[in-house]
Amino acid sequence: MNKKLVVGILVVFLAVMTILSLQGITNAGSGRKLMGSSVIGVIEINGVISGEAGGGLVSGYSANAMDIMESIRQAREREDIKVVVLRIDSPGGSAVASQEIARELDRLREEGKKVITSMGDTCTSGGYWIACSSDYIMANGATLTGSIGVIMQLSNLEGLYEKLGIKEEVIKSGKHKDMGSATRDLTEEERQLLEDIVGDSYDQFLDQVLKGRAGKITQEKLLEVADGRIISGRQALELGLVDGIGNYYDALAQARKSAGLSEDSPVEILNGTGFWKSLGLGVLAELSEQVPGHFMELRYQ
Amino acid sequence: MSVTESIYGVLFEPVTTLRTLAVQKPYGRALLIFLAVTLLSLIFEQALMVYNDNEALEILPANAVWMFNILGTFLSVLLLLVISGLLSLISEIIYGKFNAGGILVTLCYASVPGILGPPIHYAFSLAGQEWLGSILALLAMVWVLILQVIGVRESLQVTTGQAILIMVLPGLFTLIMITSLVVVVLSGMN
Repeated sequence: MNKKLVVGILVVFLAVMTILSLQGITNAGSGRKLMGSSVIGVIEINGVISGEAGGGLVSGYSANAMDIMESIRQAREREDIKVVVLRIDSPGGSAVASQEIARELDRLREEGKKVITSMGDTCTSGGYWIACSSDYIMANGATLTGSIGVIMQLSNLEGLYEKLGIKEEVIKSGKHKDMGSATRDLTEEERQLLEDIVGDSYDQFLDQVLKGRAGKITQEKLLEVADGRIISGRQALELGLVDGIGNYYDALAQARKSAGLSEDSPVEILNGTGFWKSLGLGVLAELSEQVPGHFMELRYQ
Repeated sequence: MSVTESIYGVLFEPVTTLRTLAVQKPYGRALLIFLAVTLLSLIFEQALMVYNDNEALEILPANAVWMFNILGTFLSVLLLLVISGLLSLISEIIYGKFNAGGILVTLCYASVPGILGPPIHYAFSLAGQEWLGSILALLAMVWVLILQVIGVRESLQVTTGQAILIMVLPGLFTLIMITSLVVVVLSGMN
Protein backbone atom coordinates (compact mmCIF):
# COMPACT_ATOMS: atom_id res chain seq x y z
CA MET A 1 0.00 0.00 0.00
CA ASN A 2 2.81 2.38 0.96
CA LYS A 3 4.67 1.52 -2.21
CA LYS A 4 1.63 2.31 -4.32
CA LEU A 5 1.13 5.58 -2.45
CA VAL A 6 4.74 6.67 -2.98
CA VAL A 7 4.70 5.78 -6.68
CA GLY A 8 1.26 7.41 -6.98
CA ILE A 9 2.54 10.66 -5.47
CA LEU A 10 5.50 10.53 -7.84
CA VAL A 11 3.22 10.01 -10.84
CA VAL A 12 0.90 12.86 -9.78
CA PHE A 13 3.89 15.18 -9.25
CA LEU A 14 5.24 14.31 -12.69
CA ALA A 15 1.82 14.76 -14.30
CA VAL A 16 1.36 18.19 -12.71
CA MET A 17 4.86 19.27 -13.71
CA THR A 18 4.36 17.97 -17.25
CA ILE A 19 1.20 20.06 -17.59
CA LEU A 20 2.97 23.12 -16.16
CA SER A 21 5.95 22.57 -18.47
CA LEU A 22 3.80 22.16 -21.57
CA GLN A 23 1.87 25.27 -20.58
CA GLY A 24 5.13 27.17 -20.18
CA ILE A 25 6.35 26.03 -23.59
CA THR A 26 3.04 26.83 -25.30
CA ASN A 27 2.67 30.20 -23.66
CA ALA A 28 6.16 31.20 -24.75
CA GLY A 29 5.25 30.19 -28.29
CA SER A 30 2.16 32.36 -28.32
CA GLY A 31 3.95 35.21 -26.68
CA ARG A 32 1.94 35.34 -23.45
CA LYS A 33 5.16 35.34 -21.47
CA LEU A 34 5.77 38.83 -22.81
CA MET A 35 2.35 40.11 -21.74
CA GLY A 36 2.51 43.38 -19.91
CA SER A 37 5.47 44.71 -21.84
CA SER A 38 5.37 46.55 -25.16
CA VAL A 39 6.19 44.14 -27.91
CA ILE A 40 7.14 44.47 -31.56
CA GLY A 41 5.26 41.79 -33.47
CA VAL A 42 7.02 40.43 -36.53
CA ILE A 43 5.04 38.77 -39.28
CA GLU A 44 7.01 36.95 -41.94
CA ILE A 45 5.74 36.68 -45.51
CA ASN A 46 8.09 34.29 -47.25
CA GLY A 47 7.56 32.67 -50.64
CA VAL A 48 4.72 32.77 -53.10
CA ILE A 49 1.58 34.32 -51.61
CA SER A 50 -1.15 31.74 -51.69
CA GLY A 51 -4.78 31.79 -50.72
CA GLU A 52 -5.07 28.09 -50.18
CA ALA A 53 -5.92 26.86 -46.72
CA GLY A 54 -2.89 25.84 -44.68
CA GLY A 55 -2.30 22.66 -42.78
CA GLY A 56 -0.95 20.48 -45.55
CA LEU A 57 2.30 18.70 -44.85
CA VAL A 58 4.07 20.28 -47.80
CA SER A 59 2.50 23.74 -47.70
CA GLY A 60 5.28 25.09 -45.51
CA TYR A 61 7.18 27.48 -47.71
CA SER A 62 4.40 29.39 -49.44
CA ALA A 63 3.03 32.43 -47.68
CA ASN A 64 -0.43 31.29 -46.76
CA ALA A 65 -2.92 34.17 -46.57
CA MET A 66 -5.04 32.51 -43.89
CA ASP A 67 -2.07 32.01 -41.57
CA ILE A 68 -0.80 35.54 -42.17
CA MET A 69 -4.23 37.08 -41.61
CA GLU A 70 -4.53 35.10 -38.40
CA SER A 71 -1.22 36.55 -37.21
CA ILE A 72 -2.36 40.07 -38.11
CA ARG A 73 -5.59 39.58 -36.18
CA GLN A 74 -3.57 38.30 -33.24
CA ALA A 75 -1.45 41.46 -33.40
CA ARG A 76 -4.63 43.53 -33.48
CA GLU A 77 -6.21 41.82 -30.50
CA ARG A 78 -3.15 41.71 -28.27
CA GLU A 79 -2.72 44.86 -26.27
CA ASP A 80 0.97 44.25 -25.64
CA ILE A 81 1.79 44.45 -29.35
CA LYS A 82 2.26 48.12 -30.14
CA VAL A 83 3.74 47.92 -33.61
CA VAL A 84 4.12 45.29 -36.32
CA VAL A 85 7.07 44.70 -38.60
CA LEU A 86 6.25 42.86 -41.80
CA ARG A 87 9.24 40.98 -43.12
CA ILE A 88 8.46 40.36 -46.79
CA ASP A 89 10.55 38.14 -49.05
CA SER A 90 8.08 37.27 -51.76
CA PRO A 91 7.72 37.52 -55.53
CA GLY A 92 3.97 38.00 -55.09
CA GLY A 93 1.33 35.45 -55.87
CA SER A 94 -2.43 35.26 -55.74
CA ALA A 95 -4.07 38.65 -56.29
CA VAL A 96 -6.93 37.84 -53.94
CA ALA A 97 -4.63 36.56 -51.20
CA SER A 98 -2.54 39.76 -51.43
CA GLN A 99 -5.69 41.88 -51.20
CA GLU A 100 -6.96 39.91 -48.22
CA ILE A 101 -3.72 40.36 -46.32
CA ALA A 102 -3.56 44.07 -47.17
CA ARG A 103 -7.15 44.54 -45.96
CA GLU A 104 -6.28 42.99 -42.60
CA LEU A 105 -3.29 45.29 -42.33
CA ASP A 106 -5.52 48.28 -43.01
CA ARG A 107 -7.78 47.14 -40.15
CA LEU A 108 -4.75 46.83 -37.89
CA ARG A 109 -3.70 50.37 -38.74
CA GLU A 110 -7.23 51.62 -38.17
CA GLU A 111 -6.77 50.40 -34.58
CA GLY A 112 -3.89 52.84 -34.30
CA LYS A 113 -1.07 50.31 -34.57
CA LYS A 114 1.78 51.15 -36.89
CA VAL A 115 3.00 48.72 -39.56
CA ILE A 116 6.57 48.84 -40.82
CA THR A 117 7.64 46.78 -43.82
CA SER A 118 11.12 45.35 -44.13
CA MET A 119 11.88 44.01 -47.59
CA GLY A 120 14.17 41.01 -48.01
CA ASP A 121 15.64 39.77 -51.30
CA THR A 122 12.41 40.23 -53.20
CA CYS A 123 9.24 42.16 -52.57
CA THR A 124 7.56 42.41 -55.90
CA SER A 125 4.03 42.52 -57.24
CA GLY A 126 1.65 41.04 -54.63
CA GLY A 127 4.41 41.48 -52.04
CA TYR A 128 4.58 45.17 -52.91
CA TRP A 129 0.77 45.39 -52.84
CA ILE A 130 0.91 44.24 -49.22
CA ALA A 131 3.81 46.57 -48.42
CA CYS A 132 1.67 49.49 -49.56
CA SER A 133 -0.62 48.84 -46.62
CA SER A 134 2.10 49.82 -44.17
CA ASP A 135 3.15 53.13 -42.68
CA TYR A 136 6.80 52.86 -43.59
CA ILE A 137 8.65 50.72 -46.13
CA MET A 138 12.29 49.86 -45.57
CA ALA A 139 14.13 48.18 -48.45
CA ASN A 140 17.70 47.05 -48.92
CA GLY A 141 19.56 48.77 -51.73
CA ALA A 142 19.63 45.58 -53.77
CA THR A 143 16.12 44.40 -52.94
CA LEU A 144 14.10 43.58 -56.02
CA THR A 145 10.78 45.34 -55.83
CA GLY A 146 8.15 46.88 -58.09
CA SER A 147 6.72 44.57 -60.76
CA ILE A 148 3.48 46.50 -60.45
CA GLY A 149 1.13 44.71 -62.77
CA VAL A 150 -1.20 41.79 -63.19
CA ILE A 151 -0.69 38.57 -65.08
CA MET A 152 -3.01 35.78 -66.10
CA GLN A 153 -1.45 32.79 -67.78
CA LEU A 154 -3.41 30.18 -69.66
CA SER A 155 -2.11 27.02 -71.27
CA ASN A 156 -3.41 25.52 -74.47
CA LEU A 157 -2.78 21.80 -74.27
CA GLU A 158 -4.82 20.94 -77.35
CA GLY A 159 -1.85 19.50 -79.25
CA LEU A 160 -0.78 17.37 -76.31
CA TYR A 161 -4.29 16.04 -75.78
CA GLU A 162 -4.45 15.08 -79.45
CA LYS A 163 -1.22 13.12 -79.16
CA LEU A 164 -2.55 11.37 -76.09
CA GLY A 165 -5.84 10.62 -77.75
CA ILE A 166 -7.84 12.63 -75.26
CA LYS A 167 -10.87 14.43 -76.59
CA GLU A 168 -12.85 16.70 -74.31
CA GLU A 169 -16.60 16.96 -74.65
CA VAL A 170 -18.02 20.23 -73.28
CA ILE A 171 -21.63 20.79 -72.37
CA LYS A 172 -22.14 24.37 -71.22
CA SER A 173 -24.97 26.67 -70.27
CA GLY A 174 -23.43 29.75 -71.86
CA LYS A 175 -20.88 30.50 -74.53
CA HIS A 176 -18.28 31.76 -72.10
CA LYS A 177 -18.67 29.04 -69.48
CA ASP A 178 -15.51 27.24 -70.61
CA MET A 179 -13.57 30.44 -71.11
CA GLY A 180 -9.88 29.70 -70.67
CA SER A 181 -10.29 26.03 -71.51
CA ALA A 182 -6.99 24.20 -71.98
CA THR A 183 -8.30 22.35 -75.02
CA ARG A 184 -8.81 25.22 -77.44
CA ASP A 185 -7.65 28.72 -78.37
CA LEU A 186 -9.27 31.79 -76.84
CA THR A 187 -11.76 33.59 -79.05
CA GLU A 188 -11.26 37.32 -79.60
CA GLU A 189 -14.30 38.06 -77.46
CA GLU A 190 -12.97 35.90 -74.62
CA ARG A 191 -9.56 37.51 -74.90
CA GLN A 192 -11.18 40.93 -74.58
CA LEU A 193 -13.16 39.84 -71.53
CA LEU A 194 -10.05 38.52 -69.81
CA GLU A 195 -8.07 41.61 -70.74
CA ASP A 196 -10.80 43.70 -69.13
CA ILE A 197 -10.45 41.69 -65.92
CA VAL A 198 -6.67 42.04 -65.96
CA GLY A 199 -7.04 45.76 -66.69
CA ASP A 200 -9.46 46.21 -63.82
CA SER A 201 -7.15 44.38 -61.44
CA TYR A 202 -4.27 46.53 -62.65
CA ASP A 203 -6.33 49.66 -61.88
CA GLN A 204 -6.95 48.29 -58.39
CA PHE A 205 -3.21 47.78 -58.00
CA LEU A 206 -2.54 51.38 -59.02
CA ASP A 207 -5.19 52.59 -56.58
CA GLN A 208 -3.58 50.57 -53.79
CA VAL A 209 -0.14 52.05 -54.51
CA LEU A 210 -1.49 55.57 -54.81
CA LYS A 211 -3.40 55.16 -51.55
CA GLY A 212 -0.47 53.62 -49.70
CA ARG A 213 2.10 56.01 -51.10
CA ALA A 214 -0.07 59.13 -51.03
CA GLY A 215 2.07 62.26 -51.13
CA LYS A 216 5.16 60.23 -51.99
CA ILE A 217 4.57 59.42 -55.62
CA THR A 218 2.31 61.03 -58.23
CA GLN A 219 0.05 59.09 -60.57
CA GLU A 220 2.07 60.22 -63.60
CA LYS A 221 5.33 59.09 -62.07
CA LEU A 222 3.79 55.81 -60.99
CA LEU A 223 2.41 55.05 -64.44
CA GLU A 224 5.91 55.45 -65.86
CA VAL A 225 7.18 52.51 -63.84
CA ALA A 226 4.00 50.49 -63.32
CA ASP A 227 4.51 48.42 -66.43
CA GLY A 228 5.55 45.23 -64.67
CA ARG A 229 9.24 46.13 -64.48
CA ILE A 230 11.27 45.23 -61.44
CA ILE A 231 13.44 47.86 -59.81
CA SER A 232 16.07 47.90 -57.10
CA GLY A 233 15.43 49.15 -53.59
CA ARG A 234 17.53 52.21 -54.25
CA GLN A 235 15.64 53.04 -57.44
CA ALA A 236 12.40 52.53 -55.52
CA LEU A 237 13.56 55.06 -52.93
CA GLU A 238 14.29 57.63 -55.64
CA LEU A 239 10.84 57.06 -57.13
CA GLY A 240 9.09 57.24 -53.77
CA LEU A 241 7.96 53.63 -53.74
CA VAL A 242 9.81 52.99 -50.47
CA ASP A 243 10.68 55.29 -47.56
CA GLY A 244 14.17 54.24 -46.57
CA ILE A 245 17.14 51.99 -47.17
CA GLY A 246 18.08 49.63 -44.38
CA ASN A 247 18.01 46.08 -43.17
CA TYR A 248 15.70 44.18 -40.84
CA TYR A 249 17.22 45.70 -37.73
CA ASP A 250 16.85 49.19 -39.14
CA ALA A 251 13.18 48.35 -39.69
CA LEU A 252 12.91 47.22 -36.05
CA ALA A 253 14.54 50.51 -34.98
CA GLN A 254 12.05 52.39 -37.14
CA ALA A 255 9.23 50.40 -35.55
CA ARG A 256 10.44 51.30 -32.04
CA LYS A 257 10.76 54.93 -33.04
CA SER A 258 7.30 55.13 -34.59
CA ALA A 259 5.65 53.46 -31.59
CA GLY A 260 7.76 55.27 -29.01
CA LEU A 261 9.20 52.05 -27.60
CA SER A 262 12.46 51.66 -25.72
CA GLU A 263 15.51 50.13 -27.40
CA ASP A 264 15.23 46.91 -25.41
CA SER A 265 11.57 46.32 -26.22
CA PRO A 266 11.14 42.63 -27.05
CA VAL A 267 10.54 41.30 -30.52
CA GLU A 268 8.20 38.40 -31.11
CA ILE A 269 7.75 36.51 -34.36
CA LEU A 270 4.03 35.91 -34.65
CA ASN A 271 4.17 33.32 -37.39
CA GLY A 272 6.89 30.70 -37.57
CA THR A 273 8.88 29.13 -40.31
CA GLY A 274 7.21 26.34 -42.25
CA PHE A 275 7.52 22.78 -41.02
CA TRP A 276 9.49 21.40 -43.98
CA LYS A 277 11.80 24.36 -44.10
CA SER A 278 12.55 24.01 -40.41
CA LEU A 279 13.51 20.40 -41.05
CA GLY A 280 15.74 21.47 -43.91
CA LEU A 281 13.32 20.01 -46.44
CA GLY A 282 12.31 23.25 -48.11
CA VAL A 283 12.56 21.50 -51.49
CA LEU A 284 9.46 19.48 -50.65
CA ALA A 285 7.57 22.64 -49.86
CA GLU A 286 8.74 24.32 -53.05
CA LEU A 287 7.60 21.28 -55.01
CA SER A 288 4.13 21.75 -53.62
CA GLU A 289 4.13 25.26 -55.06
CA GLN A 290 4.72 23.89 -58.53
CA VAL A 291 1.44 22.02 -58.49
CA PRO A 292 -1.18 24.36 -59.96
CA GLY A 293 -4.07 24.82 -57.58
CA HIS A 294 -6.41 26.61 -59.94
CA PHE A 295 -6.61 26.55 -63.68
CA MET A 296 -7.23 30.26 -64.10
CA GLU A 297 -6.07 32.76 -61.52
CA LEU A 298 -5.13 36.39 -61.43
CA ARG A 299 -1.65 36.84 -60.11
CA TYR A 300 0.32 39.82 -58.92
CA GLN A 301 3.57 38.13 -59.72
CA MET B 1 7.95 -7.85 -9.82
CA SER B 2 5.25 -5.30 -10.73
CA VAL B 3 6.02 -1.86 -12.21
CA THR B 4 5.07 -0.16 -8.93
CA GLU B 5 7.31 -2.48 -6.92
CA SER B 6 10.22 -2.09 -9.31
CA ILE B 7 10.02 1.73 -9.37
CA TYR B 8 9.61 1.92 -5.60
CA GLY B 9 12.39 -0.60 -5.16
CA VAL B 10 14.84 1.29 -7.39
CA LEU B 11 14.21 4.45 -5.40
CA PHE B 12 14.23 3.03 -1.87
CA GLU B 13 15.67 -0.50 -1.97
CA PRO B 14 18.03 -0.26 -4.93
CA VAL B 15 20.43 -3.10 -4.17
CA THR B 16 17.94 -5.96 -3.90
CA THR B 17 15.69 -4.52 -6.63
CA LEU B 18 18.46 -4.07 -9.16
CA ARG B 19 19.86 -7.50 -8.31
CA THR B 20 16.45 -9.06 -9.00
CA LEU B 21 15.98 -7.06 -12.20
CA ALA B 22 19.44 -8.08 -13.43
CA VAL B 23 18.33 -11.70 -13.16
CA GLN B 24 14.75 -11.32 -14.41
CA LYS B 25 15.72 -8.99 -17.30
CA PRO B 26 12.33 -7.44 -18.20
CA TYR B 27 13.70 -5.80 -21.37
CA GLY B 28 10.47 -4.35 -22.75
CA ARG B 29 9.38 -2.75 -19.50
CA ALA B 30 12.89 -1.45 -18.79
CA LEU B 31 13.18 0.20 -22.21
CA LEU B 32 9.70 1.69 -21.85
CA ILE B 33 10.64 3.19 -18.48
CA PHE B 34 13.87 4.56 -19.95
CA LEU B 35 11.96 6.08 -22.89
CA ALA B 36 9.37 7.63 -20.57
CA VAL B 37 12.11 9.10 -18.37
CA THR B 38 13.99 10.50 -21.39
CA LEU B 39 10.91 11.98 -23.07
CA LEU B 40 9.56 13.56 -19.89
CA SER B 41 13.00 14.94 -19.08
CA LEU B 42 13.10 16.53 -22.53
CA ILE B 43 9.77 18.27 -21.91
CA PHE B 44 10.98 19.60 -18.56
CA GLU B 45 14.33 20.65 -20.05
CA GLN B 46 12.50 22.46 -22.84
CA ALA B 47 10.32 24.28 -20.31
CA LEU B 48 13.47 25.27 -18.41
CA MET B 49 15.03 26.56 -21.63
CA VAL B 50 11.92 28.64 -22.29
CA TYR B 51 11.93 29.90 -18.70
CA ASN B 52 15.59 30.90 -18.97
CA ASP B 53 15.10 32.49 -22.43
CA ASN B 54 17.72 30.16 -23.87
CA GLU B 55 19.22 31.59 -27.07
CA ALA B 56 18.96 28.25 -28.85
CA LEU B 57 15.19 28.60 -28.85
CA GLU B 58 15.48 31.96 -30.61
CA ILE B 59 17.89 30.66 -33.22
CA LEU B 60 16.22 27.33 -33.92
CA PRO B 61 12.66 27.03 -35.17
CA ALA B 62 10.37 25.29 -32.66
CA ASN B 63 9.94 22.30 -34.95
CA ALA B 64 13.69 21.84 -35.19
CA VAL B 65 14.05 21.91 -31.40
CA TRP B 66 11.50 19.12 -31.09
CA MET B 67 13.13 17.22 -33.92
CA PHE B 68 16.47 17.38 -32.10
CA ASN B 69 14.72 16.21 -28.94
CA ILE B 70 13.23 13.18 -30.67
CA LEU B 71 16.54 12.46 -32.36
CA GLY B 72 18.25 12.78 -28.97
CA THR B 73 15.84 10.26 -27.44
CA PHE B 74 16.47 7.79 -30.24
CA LEU B 75 20.24 8.22 -29.91
CA SER B 76 20.15 7.84 -26.13
CA VAL B 77 18.40 4.46 -26.50
CA LEU B 78 20.98 3.45 -29.09
CA LEU B 79 23.81 4.64 -26.85
CA LEU B 80 22.38 2.69 -23.93
CA LEU B 81 22.42 -0.51 -25.96
CA VAL B 82 26.00 0.11 -27.07
CA ILE B 83 27.21 1.00 -23.56
CA SER B 84 25.56 -2.07 -22.04
CA GLY B 85 27.37 -4.29 -24.50
CA LEU B 86 30.64 -2.43 -24.05
CA LEU B 87 30.57 -2.61 -20.23
CA SER B 88 29.79 -6.31 -20.39
CA LEU B 89 32.67 -6.84 -22.82
CA ILE B 90 35.12 -4.94 -20.60
CA SER B 91 34.01 -6.98 -17.60
CA GLU B 92 34.41 -10.20 -19.55
CA ILE B 93 37.94 -9.24 -20.62
CA ILE B 94 39.03 -8.17 -17.14
CA TYR B 95 37.00 -10.33 -14.74
CA GLY B 96 35.59 -13.03 -16.98
CA LYS B 97 32.01 -12.06 -16.05
CA PHE B 98 29.41 -10.84 -18.55
CA ASN B 99 25.73 -9.90 -18.43
CA ALA B 100 24.91 -7.33 -21.12
CA GLY B 101 21.16 -7.89 -20.74
CA GLY B 102 21.30 -7.36 -16.99
CA ILE B 103 23.35 -4.18 -17.41
CA LEU B 104 20.86 -2.89 -20.01
CA VAL B 105 17.89 -3.48 -17.69
CA THR B 106 19.56 -2.05 -14.58
CA LEU B 107 20.84 1.02 -16.43
CA CYS B 108 17.30 1.65 -17.71
CA TYR B 109 15.90 1.42 -14.19
CA ALA B 110 18.80 3.45 -12.77
CA SER B 111 17.60 6.39 -14.84
CA VAL B 112 14.34 6.60 -12.83
CA PRO B 113 15.51 9.17 -10.20
CA GLY B 114 16.75 11.26 -13.13
CA ILE B 115 13.13 12.08 -13.89
CA LEU B 116 12.93 14.01 -10.63
CA GLY B 117 15.77 16.45 -11.37
CA PRO B 118 14.37 18.59 -14.22
CA PRO B 119 10.82 18.97 -12.82
CA ILE B 120 12.14 19.85 -9.36
CA HIS B 121 14.51 22.34 -10.99
CA TYR B 122 11.60 23.80 -12.98
CA ALA B 123 9.30 23.92 -9.93
CA PHE B 124 11.90 25.77 -7.87
CA SER B 125 12.62 28.09 -10.80
CA LEU B 126 8.94 29.00 -10.97
CA ALA B 127 9.03 29.58 -7.21
CA GLY B 128 11.99 31.93 -7.65
CA GLN B 129 14.50 29.56 -6.03
CA GLU B 130 16.37 28.40 -9.09
CA TRP B 131 19.65 27.85 -7.23
CA LEU B 132 18.00 25.33 -4.91
CA GLY B 133 16.41 23.63 -7.89
CA SER B 134 19.83 23.38 -9.59
CA ILE B 135 21.35 21.76 -6.51
CA LEU B 136 18.50 19.24 -6.18
CA ALA B 137 18.74 18.45 -9.91
CA LEU B 138 22.45 17.84 -9.45
CA LEU B 139 21.71 15.53 -6.51
CA ALA B 140 19.27 13.59 -8.70
CA MET B 141 22.06 13.13 -11.24
CA VAL B 142 24.41 11.86 -8.55
CA TRP B 143 21.63 9.50 -7.40
CA VAL B 144 21.39 8.13 -10.95
CA LEU B 145 25.16 7.65 -11.11
CA ILE B 146 25.17 5.74 -7.82
CA LEU B 147 22.32 3.54 -9.04
CA GLN B 148 24.21 2.88 -12.27
CA VAL B 149 27.21 1.68 -10.30
CA ILE B 150 24.98 -0.55 -8.16
CA GLY B 151 23.26 -1.83 -11.31
CA VAL B 152 26.53 -2.78 -13.00
CA ARG B 153 27.81 -4.31 -9.76
CA GLU B 154 24.72 -6.45 -9.23
CA SER B 155 24.48 -7.44 -12.89
CA LEU B 156 28.07 -8.63 -13.07
CA GLN B 157 28.39 -9.75 -9.44
CA VAL B 158 31.59 -7.76 -8.91
CA THR B 159 32.69 -5.40 -6.13
CA THR B 160 31.80 -1.69 -6.10
CA GLY B 161 35.37 -0.73 -6.97
CA GLN B 162 35.42 -3.14 -9.89
CA ALA B 163 32.06 -1.80 -11.12
CA ILE B 164 33.38 1.76 -11.00
CA LEU B 165 36.50 0.71 -12.89
CA ILE B 166 34.39 -0.98 -15.57
CA MET B 167 32.31 2.16 -15.97
CA VAL B 168 35.26 4.54 -15.98
CA LEU B 169 37.41 2.56 -18.43
CA PRO B 170 35.59 3.53 -21.68
CA GLY B 171 35.87 7.22 -20.79
CA LEU B 172 39.48 6.79 -19.75
CA PHE B 173 40.25 4.95 -22.99
CA THR B 174 38.61 7.71 -25.05
CA LEU B 175 40.56 10.35 -23.15
CA ILE B 176 43.83 8.54 -23.77
CA MET B 177 42.98 8.13 -27.46
CA ILE B 178 42.13 11.83 -27.86
CA THR B 179 45.27 12.88 -25.97
CA SER B 180 47.41 10.58 -28.12
CA LEU B 181 45.77 11.95 -31.27
CA VAL B 182 46.39 15.53 -30.18
CA VAL B 183 50.03 14.71 -29.34
CA VAL B 184 50.53 13.01 -32.74
CA VAL B 185 48.93 15.93 -34.60
CA LEU B 186 50.92 18.52 -32.64
CA SER B 187 54.21 16.64 -33.12
CA GLY B 188 53.43 16.36 -36.83
CA MET B 189 52.91 20.13 -37.03
CA ASN B 190 56.31 20.73 -35.45
